[in-house]
Amino acid sequence: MGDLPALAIAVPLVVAAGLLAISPKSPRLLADIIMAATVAAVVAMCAVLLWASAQNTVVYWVGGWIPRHHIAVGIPLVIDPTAAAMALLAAVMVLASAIFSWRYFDVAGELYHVLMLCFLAGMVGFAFAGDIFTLFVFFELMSIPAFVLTATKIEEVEALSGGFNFAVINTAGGLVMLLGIALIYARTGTLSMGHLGAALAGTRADGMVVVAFVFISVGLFTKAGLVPFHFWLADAHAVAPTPVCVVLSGVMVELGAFAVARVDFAVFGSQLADHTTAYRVALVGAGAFAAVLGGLMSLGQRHLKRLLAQSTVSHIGVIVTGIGLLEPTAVAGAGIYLIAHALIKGALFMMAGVLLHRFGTVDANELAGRGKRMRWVGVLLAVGGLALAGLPPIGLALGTSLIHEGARHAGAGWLVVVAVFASVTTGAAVLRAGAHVFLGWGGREGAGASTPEHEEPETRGPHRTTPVVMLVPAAVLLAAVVALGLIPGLAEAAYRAALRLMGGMSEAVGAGPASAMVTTAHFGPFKSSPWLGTASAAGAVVVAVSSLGMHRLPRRLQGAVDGAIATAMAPLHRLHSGKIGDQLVWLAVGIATLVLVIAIGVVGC
Amino acid sequence: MSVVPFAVAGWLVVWGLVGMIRSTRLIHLTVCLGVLQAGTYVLLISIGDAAGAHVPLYAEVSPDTAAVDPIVQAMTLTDIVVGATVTAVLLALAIQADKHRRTTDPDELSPMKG
Repeated sequence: MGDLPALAIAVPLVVAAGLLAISPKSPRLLADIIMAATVAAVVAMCAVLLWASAQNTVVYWVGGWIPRHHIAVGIPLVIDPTAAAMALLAAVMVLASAIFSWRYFDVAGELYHVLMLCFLAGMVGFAFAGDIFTLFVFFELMSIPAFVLTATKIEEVEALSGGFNFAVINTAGGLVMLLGIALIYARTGTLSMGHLGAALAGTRADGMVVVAFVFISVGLFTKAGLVPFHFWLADAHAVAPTPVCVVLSGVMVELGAFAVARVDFAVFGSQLADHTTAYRVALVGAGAFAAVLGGLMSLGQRHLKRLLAQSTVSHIGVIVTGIGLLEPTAVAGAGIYLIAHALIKGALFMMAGVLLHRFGTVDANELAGRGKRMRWVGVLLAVGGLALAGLPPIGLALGTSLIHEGARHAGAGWLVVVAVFASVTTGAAVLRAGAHVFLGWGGREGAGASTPEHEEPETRGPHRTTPVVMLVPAAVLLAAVVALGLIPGLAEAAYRAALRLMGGMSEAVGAGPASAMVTTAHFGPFKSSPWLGTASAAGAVVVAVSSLGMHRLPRRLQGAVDGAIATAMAPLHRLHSGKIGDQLVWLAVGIATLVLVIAIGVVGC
Repeated sequence: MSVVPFAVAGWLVVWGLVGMIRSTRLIHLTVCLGVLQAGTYVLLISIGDAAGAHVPLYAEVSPDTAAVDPIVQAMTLTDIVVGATVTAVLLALAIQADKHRRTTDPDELSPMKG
C-alpha cells in the first residue's frame, strides 16, 4: 500500500514529462500506447485503493510529515471509498476517451497526450486531497490542461472564445475559493480538512465562517457547473474536441460536485448540523432550478454537443439536490446518479463524435436522416437516451429512487417532480435528436443555438466508415451503467460510503471524533420501485415523438405552437449570450444571493 | 491589527472583477484578472502579519521569537505561480484570436448564443 496514493498522482505526471521530452520525434502510435498504458496503470492503482479504503480510510501524509502534538503542517491525502471511487471514475473515463481518440483524431495535436495525462493527475489529486489548499492547487492543476485542451482548434475563433470564457470563469471561481480558504485559515490556523472540521466543531457560525463557506462553495460550484455559474459549460463543450468533452462532462464536472460534498461535510459538518434548513434551502433550491433550466435548454438545441452540455447542467442540478438534502440515503443516491451520469454522458458524447467524424457536422438539422445506415450508433444513442430518461434497472434510475427516498425522509417528497422533469426533458432531447438523425423523423427543427458558421471538423474532413474501435468504449460504458443497476447490494454499499463521507475526515486524521452530521445509522428497508423510472422513460419517449410529429400538424397550428415556444424560451436563450461580462455578473449575483440566504438562515435559526 | 491591508485587498478584488465585467479587450480582461489575483495575494499576506514580528528565520534568534506566518507566504507563492500560468494561457488565446479575427473584443468573439 505504502506510497500508492502519491504514485497514482505522480506516475501520470512523470510519464507526461517523458512524453513531452520525446514528443517531436515520437510516432503517434507510441504516444497512444504509452498514454493508454499509463492510464490503465492508474485505473489499477485506484481500484486497489478503493478496495483498501473499504475498511479503513487510507490517510497518506506526503513526505512523511505526520502531525505532532496535534499540529498538522503536512499535506494529507485522505482516501475514503467515495474519493477512491471518484478517482477510479476519472481514470476509467480518461481511458475510454484515450481509446476513442486512437482512430478519432487523424492528427493529434503534439501536446494532446501530455495534457490529458496532466489532466488525469490533477483529477486524481483533486479526489484524494485532504487539505483544503491542496484541493485548490489540484483544482488549478486540473483546470489548466482543460482550458488548453478546449481551445485545441486554434484556427477556429469560436474555440478560442469558448476556451477563453472557460478559463476566465473557472479561474475567477478558483480565486473566490482561495479567498474563502484564506478566511478559514485566518479563523482556525490550519489547512488540513480533518483538523479544520475539529477546530470549527464547537464554535458558532459567525459572519466570517459564513462568508468563507460561501466563497469556498462558489469556487466548487463553478467547477461543477451549478446554476448560475454554469454558462461556461455549454460554451466549452460546444467547441472542445470530442474526447476532451467526454472527460469534461464525464468527470471534471462531477468532481466539482463531489468536492462540494466532501468539503462541506468535512470542514463545515458541525455548522451544517446546526443550521440544516439554511443549507438545504440554498442547495436544494439551486439544484432544482438548475435541473429545470438545463432540461428546458437542452430541448431547444440542435447542436448535439451543446444539447448534451445543457443536459449535464440539469443532471448536476439533481446531484446537488441529493447532496443538499443532508440525508445519507439521498447522498448515496447522488453518488450512484453521478457515476451513472458520467458513464452515460461519456458514451453519448462519443456518439456525437462518431457523427462528427463521419459527416463533419453535429447540427441535428444538417444530419437529418443521414444516419440511416449507421444502425449500431443509433442503437447506442437510443440506449443512452433511455438511460438518461431513467429507465430501470439502469444505474441512473437507482440513483433517482435513492434520492427520492432521502427526500421523503427530509420531508421534501415534492423533489421527485424535479428529478423526473430533468430525466424526461434531457432524455427526450437525446431521443428526439437520435430519431431525427437516424430514422429521419420530423421536419426542420426550429429554435436552437446556431452552430458556428464554419465549423471546422476536428478530424480531417468527413470519413466514409466508422472504425469499430471508436464504438467499443461507448458500448462498454453503456454496458457498465446497465450492470450498475443490477449489482446486488450496491445501494447498501453506497449508503455506507455516504455515511463515511458525511462523517468527515476528523477521525481519520486523528483530530477528533466524527462530525455530528449523521442521524440514522442503518439502511432502512429499501425497494427500488420501477414505476418511477418507467414513467419518466415513457414520458421522455412521448415528448420526443410528439415534438417530432409536430411537423405533421396543419401549417398554422404548427406556426402558432412554434411561436409560443420560441417566445417562452427567448429570455432563457438571451441569457446564454456567451458574453463573458454577463457570466461574471452572474458569478457576483450568485455569490451575493448565497451569502444572503445562508446568513439569513444562520441568524434566523 | 490595522484594517488598511484588508481594505486594500477588498478594493483590488472588487475593482478587478468590475474591470473584467466591463472589459472590451481580451488583454485588458486578462490584466484585470491579474488585479483580482493581486487582491488575493494582499489578503493572504496580511493574514499572516503581526505587529513587530520577525521574519520566520530562526538562525540568529531564539525559537520563542514571534514571527510572521510562513504558511500564508507559501500559499501566496503558489497563487502567483497559478496566476502566471493562467495569464500565459489567456494571453496566448488572445493573440490567436487577434490573428484570426483582427479583433480582441470579447463581445464580438462570443462563441455561441442560446
